[in-house]
Amino acid sequence: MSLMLVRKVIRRWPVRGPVGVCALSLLFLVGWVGVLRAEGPTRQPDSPLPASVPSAAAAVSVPSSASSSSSGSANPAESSGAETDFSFDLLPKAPPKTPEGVAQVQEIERKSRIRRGMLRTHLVLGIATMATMAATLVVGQLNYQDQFVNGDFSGRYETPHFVLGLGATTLFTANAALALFSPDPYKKKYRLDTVMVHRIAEGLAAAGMVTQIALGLVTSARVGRLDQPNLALAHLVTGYATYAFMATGTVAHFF
Amino acid sequence: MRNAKRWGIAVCMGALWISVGCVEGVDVNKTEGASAGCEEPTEELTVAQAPMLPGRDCIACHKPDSSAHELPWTAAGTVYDRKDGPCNEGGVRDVKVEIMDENRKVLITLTTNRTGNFFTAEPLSFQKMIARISKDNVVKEMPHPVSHANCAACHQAKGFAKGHIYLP
Repeated sequence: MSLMLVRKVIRRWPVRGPVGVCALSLLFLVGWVGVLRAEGPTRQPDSPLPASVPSAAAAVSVPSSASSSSSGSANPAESSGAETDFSFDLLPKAPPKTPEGVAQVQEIERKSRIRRGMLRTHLVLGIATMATMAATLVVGQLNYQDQFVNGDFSGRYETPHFVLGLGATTLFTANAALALFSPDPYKKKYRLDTVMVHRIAEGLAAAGMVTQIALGLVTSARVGRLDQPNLALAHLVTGYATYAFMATGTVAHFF
Repeated sequence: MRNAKRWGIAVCMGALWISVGCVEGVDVNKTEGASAGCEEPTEELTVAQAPMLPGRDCIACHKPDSSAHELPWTAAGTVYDRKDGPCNEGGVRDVKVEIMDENRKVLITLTTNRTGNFFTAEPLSFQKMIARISKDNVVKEMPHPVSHANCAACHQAKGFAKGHIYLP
């Protein structure tokens, strides 16, 4: 399928074909990296499942001539008619379900449902936060131009910038709470992957948001002071940096 | 549900647009002496921003016990292009205003905005002060020192200076 696509690209664009092929290859590579690094509930060797869940590792049966262990346990491959009529069981008999095991599995399922719902909401709120933050940036830049660059001082962008900033802060805080307080039913090792990049970037964005709030309050209180333009510039730069961290975290999580 | 979402977005956008358009105006006649004998200001000049109410007595409101007590100025005024003329127009932009003490040590340097206003909240320590204004190699300096930096208190039609601060 991919080779057919490549041939089509080369035929249609003889000059730009190689460039298109490189671009497509890069896209495929990024896509595969994203697939390979996709997070899912993985079972680590140090967190065994409860006894009621059949272990997949025991599914493969070993021929009796090669195996010296588990001679006492039921070995499905050893049944006399297995090799001829294919009526063998791949899986061993499930161990009897205990009340504790059932409860543990149900607890894991319950937490997984809650986590799934919270993280879906986290995704939607995250996009809304990015949009609100972008609007705050634009209006903030217009406000800065109005007051400290062209000297118009119309004041028309002050209130919208404040309202949008308040909205962005509220959304960001709510979104962070969703991510931080979602239940964690599966034990996972922390490693440097896209999720960790997302966490680091959004942590830096959170620090930027706190700095922004402080700088915004201080700047608006320093009207008539000689340092107000410098504080306003610092507020502007911090705003752009915060948005860059937020965007990095969002893009990292999508790939 | 879909309609509710659309209405919600429309209301938010409307609120944003309204907040953009609605900026409060200031009534200069509420404070005694603030109008400094000037004509009625235009609506744009009553917006509580830096270019507001040129030629009026800024510190009549911008002092600790007055209507704009949260933004007290230590020096404020307006520079015009001529001594006598309306207050609403004629302000000169980008004029350098130097506030000096009695020893001619420059305490602070300010720049006028688009309506000719200048102001500061920086603390200024002086017994007597002299102001100097300059732009494009044209310089004017006060002949006599004064004890305060409320320029419009004197620089008004009925004040001691009998007219605006001006730089031809």
